[in-house]
Amino acid sequence: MREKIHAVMDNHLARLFLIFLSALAVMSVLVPSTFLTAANFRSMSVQLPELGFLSIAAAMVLISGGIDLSVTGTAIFAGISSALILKTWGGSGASFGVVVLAVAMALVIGIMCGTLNALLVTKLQIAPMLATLGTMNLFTGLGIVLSKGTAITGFPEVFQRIGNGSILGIPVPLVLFVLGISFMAFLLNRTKYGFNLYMYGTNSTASFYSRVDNTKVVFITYILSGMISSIAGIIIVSRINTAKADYGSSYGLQALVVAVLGGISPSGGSGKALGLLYSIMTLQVISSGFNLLHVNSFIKDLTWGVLLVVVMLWNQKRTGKKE
Amino acid sequence: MGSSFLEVKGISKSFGGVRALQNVDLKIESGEIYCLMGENGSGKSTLIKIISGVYTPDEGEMILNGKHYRKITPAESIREGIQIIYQDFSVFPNLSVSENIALSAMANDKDKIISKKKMDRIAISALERISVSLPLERPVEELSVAGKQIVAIARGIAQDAKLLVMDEPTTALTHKEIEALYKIVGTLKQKGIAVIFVSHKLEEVFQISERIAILRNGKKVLDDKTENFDKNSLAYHMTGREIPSIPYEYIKDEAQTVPVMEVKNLSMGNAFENISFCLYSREILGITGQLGCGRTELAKALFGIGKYTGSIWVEGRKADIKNILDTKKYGIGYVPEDRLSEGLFLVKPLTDNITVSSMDSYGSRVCCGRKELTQAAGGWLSSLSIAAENPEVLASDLSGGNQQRIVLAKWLATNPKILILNCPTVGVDIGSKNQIHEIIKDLARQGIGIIVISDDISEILTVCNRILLMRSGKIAKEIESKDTTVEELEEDLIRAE
Repeated sequence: MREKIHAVMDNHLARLFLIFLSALAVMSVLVPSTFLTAANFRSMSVQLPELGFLSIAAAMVLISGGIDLSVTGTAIFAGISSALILKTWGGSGASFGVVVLAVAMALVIGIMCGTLNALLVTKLQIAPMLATLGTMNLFTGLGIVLSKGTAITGFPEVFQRIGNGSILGIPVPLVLFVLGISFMAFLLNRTKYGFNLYMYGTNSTASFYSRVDNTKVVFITYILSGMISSIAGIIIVSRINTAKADYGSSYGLQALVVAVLGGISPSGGSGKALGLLYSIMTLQVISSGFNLLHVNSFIKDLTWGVLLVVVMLWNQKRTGKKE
Repeated sequence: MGSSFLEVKGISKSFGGVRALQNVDLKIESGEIYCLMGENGSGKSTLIKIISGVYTPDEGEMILNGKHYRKITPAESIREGIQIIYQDFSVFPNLSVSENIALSAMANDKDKIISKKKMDRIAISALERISVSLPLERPVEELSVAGKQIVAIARGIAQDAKLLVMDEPTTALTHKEIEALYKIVGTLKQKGIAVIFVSHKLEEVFQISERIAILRNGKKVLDDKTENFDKNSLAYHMTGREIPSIPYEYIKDEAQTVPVMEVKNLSMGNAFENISFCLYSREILGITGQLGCGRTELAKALFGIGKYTGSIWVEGRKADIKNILDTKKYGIGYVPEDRLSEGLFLVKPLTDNITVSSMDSYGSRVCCGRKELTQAAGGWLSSLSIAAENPEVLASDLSGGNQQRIVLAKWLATNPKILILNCPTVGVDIGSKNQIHEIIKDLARQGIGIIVISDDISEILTVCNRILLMRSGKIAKEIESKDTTVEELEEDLIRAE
């Protein structure tokens, strides 16, 4: 039985990895001159972390059996808040201290957004889908009000390095993302919080009767989700040197697609960080390849949708067989 | 001899390599009340699913109203008048009583348009035939369990049932409701409708049935008139062995002067009031009473669920219990009534199921390794002799008895001083029931104070040394087990509220 479970789990991961490799191979064959270049890989590794962080945020909440639609709203709100701090205290000439303050502010905003979601879900017992649908609009709205709907631009060099700099030749966002996904893997596999999260996501009634602190699990999860979303917000603002309320708003649903494609069950209780990593890499390869092929962006969305449906059918067939 | 309505001849059915049924014969006459007994896994449900057309038998045939069927489809089975009433009744909770009763009957007729009048007419006539009245417009979810069951019976009647098969029909009913059900069954009998009771409750089969058939390991071991059985012979035939039932002997710990738990004037809303009792370590205290007497609410209150007034004392000190988390420092564990939804994480390995409540005792404050958990779980598997290959097996793969032991292991891993067991052997077959009773007695001997809540009188009498009888939220009687008998206690229990 142990082998069987492991086979099924590994199978899923193995299959995702296979899909990733095939995507890589197809793109390499279709556009060899441009796809297999250092410049392309560099641009992919700069783009991937934004959606990557949002996917981690969405995935954590999905594992708890809930859903967080407000990840982009949080990112926008947090990004604009930090942009305003930078703008108010020096703009492109702001000191290092102000940059630290701006980043800290974004994280605090993320934590506050997560706390509000958790309060709505636990104390007021509002269904996560509705609660975060509400806060999604609330956070995005706050971003629009704060920025008065205009683009805030012109930030100091130090701040721009978060999204554009590199460490030992590796883009900073990628370094951050690798740290982020490792942190997620550590939380899920090695900590008691991770254990309780899986149990709560599997059956919250049983975890209640098993004396798991359900409220604490939900709070930690939504707060983490908010904080990780705000990191995505910082990276976005820093990379394009602009904060604007509508940037990245399409990421919200894409983050959920990435998570579900990565094997995070929407009914809660299962999913691995590695699956999420394969899934985000696959989508980035397809997306970059399509750009190089000059494929219409509508077709891109269509392909993602097809991929998601196919993977779900595949998973369904697998569980069906097990019955 | 009346005419036989259903005859099952030489039915065999295998799943994979497992022979679920072997050469089973059964004969049911119109208006006969038949009882089908057997432990979990004996083949009862397979047989029912063959009769209702869900499964196709590998061998054998069925004769229904004189017609021979090598295999039967569910639609044919219903047309011939066979209706199965499953344990969950399969009613639509959001639809009204009359919609629920009439829906199936109307689904089969030619009309394409629903007529409310016709629906009510069907419902009224079905209810009349079993001499019951129910509010036709009420949504079924607002009815009691017994009410839902009546709706399910009436639905069968509306479809011209000639044979009703009822799967464990009395599990969630109060004594009064059970009496009412027996009356309905009596009415059905007079109308010539046959009834098959599927049960493993020894007490009730004698009250209701005319014939008893016993299945064991897929074979019919006995089929005879009810008067030729007694309780012991039934238990013997179901399990194939003598089940010893040695009552628990409580030996007081002389060194211990304060009770491990004392409850003073505990009240909660209209669930229960003024409950006071003591529990000493090594004791097994039974709390019994009819459904709705407040026993479950009381058990939950002791585990921090619900707002109560009054006080709970643990080992001589007043305990401040406001929620479940508070019970940790007092060493209280609670095994819930509904194993599947409240006790277990079915799709998770046994390791997770066993260690979930005792995470504090592994690893560091924040982290813990998988290996340590698996080892701990493995220890519990062997010390409670749980039949599982290894700790990574999923909880859903175990039998009811073994699953219940997993829930017990979960709490034993927290090293409790007090264990509250709410109906510890519901849905567990006789053989493993007895083993669980022995485990409970062992735990008490090791010094844990145990409270067992149950409406199974013989269970209470074998396991507990002292019994509290609850009635309408109050303790009506406190009895030492050795001073009473099954019959006396049964009478105490049934006596009008």
